Amino acid sequence: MLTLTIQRDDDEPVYEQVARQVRQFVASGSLAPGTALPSVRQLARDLGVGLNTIARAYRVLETEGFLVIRDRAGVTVAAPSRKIEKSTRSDLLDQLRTIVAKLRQAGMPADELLRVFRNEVNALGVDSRGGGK
Amino acid sequence: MTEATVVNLFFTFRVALVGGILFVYPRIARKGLVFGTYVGEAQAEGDEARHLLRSWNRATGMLMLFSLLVGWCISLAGWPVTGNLTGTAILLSLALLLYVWMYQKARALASTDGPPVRQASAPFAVDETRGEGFAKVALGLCVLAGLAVVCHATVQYGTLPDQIPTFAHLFGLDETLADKSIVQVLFVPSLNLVLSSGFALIALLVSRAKRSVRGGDGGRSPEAQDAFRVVMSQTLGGMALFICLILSTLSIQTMRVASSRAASLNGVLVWMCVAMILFALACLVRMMKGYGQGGALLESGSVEAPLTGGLADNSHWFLWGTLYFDREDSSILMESRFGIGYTFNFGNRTALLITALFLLPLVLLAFLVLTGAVS
Repeated sequence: MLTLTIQRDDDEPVYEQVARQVRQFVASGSLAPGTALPSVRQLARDLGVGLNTIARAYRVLETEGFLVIRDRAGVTVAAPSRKIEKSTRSDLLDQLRTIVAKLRQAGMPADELLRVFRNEVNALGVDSRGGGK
Repeated sequence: MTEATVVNLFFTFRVALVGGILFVYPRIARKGLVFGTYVGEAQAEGDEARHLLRSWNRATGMLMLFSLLVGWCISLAGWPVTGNLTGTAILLSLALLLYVWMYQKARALASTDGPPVRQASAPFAVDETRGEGFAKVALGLCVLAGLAVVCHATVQYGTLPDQIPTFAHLFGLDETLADKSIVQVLFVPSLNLVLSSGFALIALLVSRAKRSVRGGDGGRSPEAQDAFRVVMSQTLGGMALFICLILSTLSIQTMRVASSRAASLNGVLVWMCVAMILFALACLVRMMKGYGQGGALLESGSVEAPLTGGLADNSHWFLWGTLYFDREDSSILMESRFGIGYTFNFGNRTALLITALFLLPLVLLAFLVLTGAVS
């Protein structure tokens, strides 16, 4: 059973902690497309946080294309897009460049950057042809 | 068998029951919790925690003996009922003092450790909410039966004589009559509606209660708590049905006796009360023996992982670790830290509202009895 953990006194907002972990679950294949997720109320109750915190995390994930939220069917994991849109690709690449630049500026050598990047991709279970697990 | 012997036997049984529960409670707590305080998993297994438990056992044994001696002595002096009540009062009040003392010792133990209190974990899977179905059925039945009995009493009101029986002999007193009034006639039906529906509502809330899981234990503690939630919800739902059955029968039988359609109160009511007490005891023993508080006995093998959520946060518990208060926490019910069951999150508005609704009939009952509106 997957467990989601938050630190209530962390600098990172709780909604972002939730969103980050769900992204990892989805990207790594731990949550398959179509999997039903716990309701906002249930997750808020178990984590001991407000309903708005979880609702916000789910909305962010919906906007990013990780989740599908329907009134009656609840929240499910979205199927990965077959084709990435130009604008999305451009935005994400910009973000990636920023992160790479920050890491480099923080003192990470180029070879370590590459190794980290490769490890992260491997952790997602993505093979060299671009397929998933 | 004389009345004094029956009272003494009942008293002895009650002391044995309460004392037995006091012996068992510290043993069924979630690991990491010691007398209502989170001290950390390692500390809870340490010498100091074991010493506290041994002290508790010795003191509980002495309390039981002392209360029995006092109760029996007063009974032998010719006042068995007074002895029964005094002995029980001594046991309960000294047990409370003992718990408070143990709680203070455990708090001191907690301050030497630094458990991670601001972490919360949740099973990330759709909750099956097992046990919810029974609670919903119980709630529906209690509301319907409660409303039907209120309607029955209202319809019968005009046909009742000016004096109606109070059934005081249910409580061992002589039968008395009271003046007919709307309050007198509708009191039991209203109490039935509020109490039985209240119990069933809490059964439903329990089936959806917050789970304080252990982070990274592979999902064993959520499963243990799911199982505990089911059995606790079933117990409360069953109690709601018993209360509904007893008070509905009492109300209907009152109308029948008052309008001379029945000679006296049906003795089956007493047996219903006995059955309800036996049901509650059986459920309590089942939960303590097979589940432990919050499923503590079912999560063996995963207890090295730390408790998370409000259960591990000492700053959110007050009144010696018995009541929970956290405004940021959206949960209504929270696992108790000592004993068996759940407590309300008093920082939650809905929980406060439900508590008020539940206490209202009791306050109303006291008010009506004190003012003589109901006898």
